[in-house]
Amino acid sequence: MGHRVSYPQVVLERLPAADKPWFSAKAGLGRLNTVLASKSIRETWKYTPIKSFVEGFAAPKSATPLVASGLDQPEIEAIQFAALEGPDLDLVRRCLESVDGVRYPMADLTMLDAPGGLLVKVTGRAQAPLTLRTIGAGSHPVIIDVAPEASLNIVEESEAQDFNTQFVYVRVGAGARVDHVRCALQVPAMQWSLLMAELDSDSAYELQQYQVGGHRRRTDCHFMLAGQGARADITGAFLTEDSCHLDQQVIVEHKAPNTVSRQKFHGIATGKSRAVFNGRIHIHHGADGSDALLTNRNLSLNPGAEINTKPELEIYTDDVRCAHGATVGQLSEDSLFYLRSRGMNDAAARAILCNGFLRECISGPMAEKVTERFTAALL
Amino acid sequence: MSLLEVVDLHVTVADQQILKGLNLRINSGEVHALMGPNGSGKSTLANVLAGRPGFVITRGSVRFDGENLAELKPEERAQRGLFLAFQYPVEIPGVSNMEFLKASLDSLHAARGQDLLSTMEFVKAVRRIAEELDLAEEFLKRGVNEGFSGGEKKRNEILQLLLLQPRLAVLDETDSGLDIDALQVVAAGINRYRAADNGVLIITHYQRLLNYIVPDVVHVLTDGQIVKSGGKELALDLDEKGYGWVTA
Repeated sequence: MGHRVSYPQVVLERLPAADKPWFSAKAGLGRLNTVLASKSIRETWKYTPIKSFVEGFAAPKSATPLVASGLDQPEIEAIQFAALEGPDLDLVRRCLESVDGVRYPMADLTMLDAPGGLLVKVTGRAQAPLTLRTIGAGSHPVIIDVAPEASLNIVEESEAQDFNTQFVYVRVGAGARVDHVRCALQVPAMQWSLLMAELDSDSAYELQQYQVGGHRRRTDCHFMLAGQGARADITGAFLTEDSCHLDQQVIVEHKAPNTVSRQKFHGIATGKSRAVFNGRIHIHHGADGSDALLTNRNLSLNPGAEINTKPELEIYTDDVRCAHGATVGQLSEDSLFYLRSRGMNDAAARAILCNGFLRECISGPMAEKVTERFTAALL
Repeated sequence: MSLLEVVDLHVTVADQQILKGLNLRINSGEVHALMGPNGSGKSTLANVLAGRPGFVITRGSVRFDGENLAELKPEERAQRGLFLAFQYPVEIPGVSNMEFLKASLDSLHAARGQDLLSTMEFVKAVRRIAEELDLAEEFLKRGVNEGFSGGEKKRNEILQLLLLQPRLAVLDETDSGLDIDALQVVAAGINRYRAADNGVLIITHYQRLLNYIVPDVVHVLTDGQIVKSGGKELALDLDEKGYGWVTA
């Protein structure tokens, strides 16, 4: 491991220290020096020590960490960060400043490290999907601004084999709609990603997240239901195999009245892998009539596999409907016997049951590809 | 040779002796009804025939077509042609009924070295049977038994019976929870399956299913043993006089 260096100052010193028009390096470094030395970091990165991720920034970068396509349509305007000016620059700055540096030190590291970034402005109902493919080491942050009443499909695929970080920030205007599929079906060396979504009134966001655990992968999602009547539907299916490590963190903040969130994640851990799921619902004071549901069901298929799941609720108003549930179990013996009594052998019956369990959380345009990948892993 | 030959069968479940020397012989072309009060061991017999884990044979033997069933895994029994219609069919969300049926049929055909049906042939066959059983197309697309009513689950078991065409069908209280219309549909399905080269063991509490499926032999099971066997009129006597009459 030639890139391994002492933590964290040496890494921080190596990162580009010059301010960028969209990001103050000085402020970022200041936050990082405090946060990385704090106790809170041990709690938010309990199962996946952040140290190795920080050290990952010392590795060489690819010239093209990310490829975006679907930009060439009338409802979409794409601007590289280097060309930002006026209100667009202000918009990007505001988005980046709103990211909580204590919760997301990796976002600061990514912004320091990334030479550029991409702003995508969506002004109407985009017909073709916006595709974001992570293909190489490094990172290229993307900020997507969806105008009121506009709509967008996003397909995000992570295919990089080397250390990379991915940061996507989506602003959803009033009455707008976003359908987003995130797939990480390869097994890269190490990856961190953050999706932040900020929803204005009566907007809707549907996220489907499918992952086959990487060597070490941490995925953060953070939804802010900021306008009245906003709604987020989040489903996810994941599978960890061999000695993979997958840590998923989802935060949904209900900041306005009558906001709705639904989260449903099914996961399977095999081999000696470890899966972590942490889902937090935070209902702010004044967000009356909020309606939040979170379920996370998991199957542990091997005594050597480990699953840690923790739903968290923080509620600061009385008028809410909120429920959560998390389970870790094994395949049902009754179901296995039912399939075997129809002629399927034990291994085939197990594969069918596992696949069915994951498929309860799989739909949309990538369903076939995702199902194929899971099937291959389960047989 | 008998299709099924059970001799002096003793079975324990969770260390409790349930079957205590059961004898039963079913030949091809025969329909047998097994009746008896709650707790007499009817479902235990069904489960031990199908090979459910936890049902332990402590004495006696079960031969299916001459082969010792105890040495076969549940899937091997199915591949040899044994079928159990479950008393409580299992719900499997995420696996469509169609996919489950195809996987079942394919695994039987593959184990027997037969050609697999093409998707078209398969879909056609399933649709035809579903129609006969008054099961809407929608039930084929839904998860296996997911959200099905009690009667729909039982009809789905009969659909499997007709599709998989086993040599011996063991029907574990397939009539329970059925209204009179569903009972007739299910009975018609079983009668359609009935043939000279297969056998049926109907396990039931009540005589009413036997109004539609006329059995060749009726057995009364009490406390783990068959205490009386007779013709179809035995079921009528039981219905009139209760099980106390047999055991007394």
